[in-house]
Amino acid sequence: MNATFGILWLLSGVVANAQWVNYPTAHVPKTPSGTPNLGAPAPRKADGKPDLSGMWEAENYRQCPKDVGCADMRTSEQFQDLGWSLPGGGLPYQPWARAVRDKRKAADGADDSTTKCLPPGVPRIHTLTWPRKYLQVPGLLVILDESTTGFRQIFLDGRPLPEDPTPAWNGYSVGHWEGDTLVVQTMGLRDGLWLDRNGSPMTDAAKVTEKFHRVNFGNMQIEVTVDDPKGYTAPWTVKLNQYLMINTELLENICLDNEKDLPHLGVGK
Amino acid sequence: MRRLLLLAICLPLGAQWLKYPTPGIPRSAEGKPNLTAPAPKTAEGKPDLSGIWHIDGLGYSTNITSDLKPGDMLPWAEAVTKERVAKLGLDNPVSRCLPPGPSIGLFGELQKVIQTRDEVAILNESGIFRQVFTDGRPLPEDPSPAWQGYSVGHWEGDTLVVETAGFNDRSWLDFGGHPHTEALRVTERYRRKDFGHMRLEVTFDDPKTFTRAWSIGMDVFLVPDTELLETVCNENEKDAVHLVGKLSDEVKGEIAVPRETAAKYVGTYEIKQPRMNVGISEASNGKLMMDVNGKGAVELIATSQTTFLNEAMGAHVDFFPDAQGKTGYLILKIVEGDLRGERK
Repeated sequence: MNATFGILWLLSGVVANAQWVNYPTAHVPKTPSGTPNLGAPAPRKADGKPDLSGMWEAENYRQCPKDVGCADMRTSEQFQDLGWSLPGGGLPYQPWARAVRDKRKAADGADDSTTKCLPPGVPRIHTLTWPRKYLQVPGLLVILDESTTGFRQIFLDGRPLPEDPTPAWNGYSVGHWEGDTLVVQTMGLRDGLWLDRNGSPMTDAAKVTEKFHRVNFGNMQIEVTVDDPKGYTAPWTVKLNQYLMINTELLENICLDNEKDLPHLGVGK
Repeated sequence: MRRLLLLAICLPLGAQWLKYPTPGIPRSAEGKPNLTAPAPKTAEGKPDLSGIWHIDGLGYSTNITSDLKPGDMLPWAEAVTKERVAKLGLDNPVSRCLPPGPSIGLFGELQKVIQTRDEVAILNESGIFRQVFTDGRPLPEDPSPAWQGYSVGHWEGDTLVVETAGFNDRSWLDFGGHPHTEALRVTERYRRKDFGHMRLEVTFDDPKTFTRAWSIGMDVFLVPDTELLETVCNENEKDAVHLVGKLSDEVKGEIAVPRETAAKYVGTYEIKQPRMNVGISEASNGKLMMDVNGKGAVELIATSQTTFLNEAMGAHVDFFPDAQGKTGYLILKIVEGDLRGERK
């Protein structure tokens, strides 16, 4: 377990120097005393729909173990175990999927795709320690992901899901509004994605539904439902809280740059 | 060298949303995009640069300095470029799935522009994003050097002027291996002339590498009714171990081609997609020279009576003259596939 956090920390390689990490974010509502009012109502676009734009982070409160020496690097419970909050022992694994999870967990995530500088995929993108920036423009929601300096597109222009797409790490995502909630459906995901650091597997049969609700200016909830009958005995739903980050900016994070970790992984259990 | 990059890019072949009509494009009654309609504006009245764009800069891909004169590049940079060419571009960071740096997008990769009130984000089909802040922030004073540097933009009339500084010194400006230092500053000027056409001028100013600042200009085309594909360069990467060989090996393997044979290949060839004009000429020493889009001819190395290597492009070219040698075509072999160029 401890080594898990060590691995994550080594890979993050975040640039230490500050650039624009203290520059004030524009258009943040203020309290009468001038401090950011993150409890203000969620902003809206010209068409009246909620605006999800902003820089968001996961519920990164899990303390890094002391003896690994990464006290400033926290992760969420969901990063480790996406089903941690579910009653009855977590995700409803098919027997093979549970066995895979157990094996990967015992190996401390040495084969984790994010360890190898590959993308987190959907829905894992929401649970990584690195922040994400949402840009909502007409017909499209773009998520810029610091973990890979990559991006994910969610089409809001009414297009249907593709019928037989090439499997992809981010799959293919379309969204529509149900009241103030953005409902996003994703399919066409690559087989073998990891859902969490424990290695909970997801298959290419998975259909993922994400319900994005910006509760107020500073808080967003994403309700994720995964329907993957090959990997799980029933569809399941987890809730992921996201917190707005202001007066900071994404850093350029090139995972492959000066990558020196791989030879050191998998040497311990 | 282009070959190395493209090997690393492995695009998936299946079509997904590649034919879905892009919303917001003015169209004829039959649904055909009207790409000469006026450029759109944002709610704030600024030109809206949003869309998927393709820059016609392939001619600069092997030599971004082709408009410079001898002596405009400092001797150390000449030497570094020569060494990189001699090693066939082996150490080009893009071959290791690292970012292209200042020239990202300039050589033909699709780019999707997302424009908001406060920034312009550019999604590159190679998989990484770039942010240009238009919220009035200044450039950082002493930033950590970064592959993409730090970019801020402002409007001068209808032109978006983007200034970038804070590059690291590891990226190559082109596949020909031209270097730069951390002193590099790049200024881009984007002007959307109408719905489907943009003009881009890029100024490179790096006094530690070049004796003067210089600019290149490129036409940028809107690509309607398609979408970016997902590219993950380091997925299933199998190229690095195959990157062997030196230019000197290829030159050693060069064979002699009789002048009357070579003369049959001389002419201008037109490749339609991507648009390239390939000029084949004969040097005074009898060797063939190849020029792409008027950006400077390079000597070809003959590997058979009909096949030649353009080492700067990492591409082979096969000639197919007819019996008289008056008409015919060539096949330029790059990793996207074989490009057929008809003799004009």
